[in-house]
Amino acid sequence: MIHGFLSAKVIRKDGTEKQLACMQHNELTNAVRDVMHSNCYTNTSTGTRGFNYIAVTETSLSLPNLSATTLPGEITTNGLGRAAASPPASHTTGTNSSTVEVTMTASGSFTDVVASATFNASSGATIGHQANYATGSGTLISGDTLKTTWTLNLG
Amino acid sequence: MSIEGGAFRCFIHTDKAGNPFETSNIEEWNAHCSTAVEPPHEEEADWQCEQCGDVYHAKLPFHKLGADGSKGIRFTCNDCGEKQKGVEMTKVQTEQTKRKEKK
Repeated sequence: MIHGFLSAKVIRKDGTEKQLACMQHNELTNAVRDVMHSNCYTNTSTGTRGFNYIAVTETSLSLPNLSATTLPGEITTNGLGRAAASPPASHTTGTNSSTVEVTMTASGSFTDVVASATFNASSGATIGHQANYATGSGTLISGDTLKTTWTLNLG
Repeated sequence: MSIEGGAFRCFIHTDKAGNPFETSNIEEWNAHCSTAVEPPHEEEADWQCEQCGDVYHAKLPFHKLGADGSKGIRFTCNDCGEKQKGVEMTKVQTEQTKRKEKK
């Protein structure tokens, strides 16, 4: 859910006021929900890109951690570095759901990939969603693939 | 305050009272979105062709979520591959596409 409130009042020249609305619940239209999903998840334009990069780590996340700014131990090498969604992130119109996914192919060995996060650029940038896998990957060797899918319900 | 993702909600096929269809069950969600019409659901995505680098905005019919959450969507650029049934692709003007079209 995305809650919002509307307040408004008339202030007349004679100093009297009329309150038209005071923290009254508003309504989010279907059109703007679709636009929000585009802006947040599916947009790939430089500078306004949505959160459609996926990163993974062998470091278990201590959650909740709403003040996170990075993904601890983010893997940057051997095929499991941060990658843009492929196939591209998509949004189902008229709904609150978008999908961001990527399949990474290991070109080296990993002990145990345990968590993932989304970002809005290929390096640095703002971390979006973060979560631990329910269970770690266990050992990965060159040629193994890791498919990570984020189903993101907003609004 | 919840800090977790919420249920799937459909806002264009509501009940008689105007309440959105809501479920956390992927099978129910797939069934709802596959059968709901007027208007049908579409998938929208912004996408860059790996071969030519052109950027597209694509619309295609609803794809069911798989058991692993994946939709298994695949795109092929109209210039580089075969046209795809049911996919509407609009080339997005970027500095790169403008330069290519000037040549």
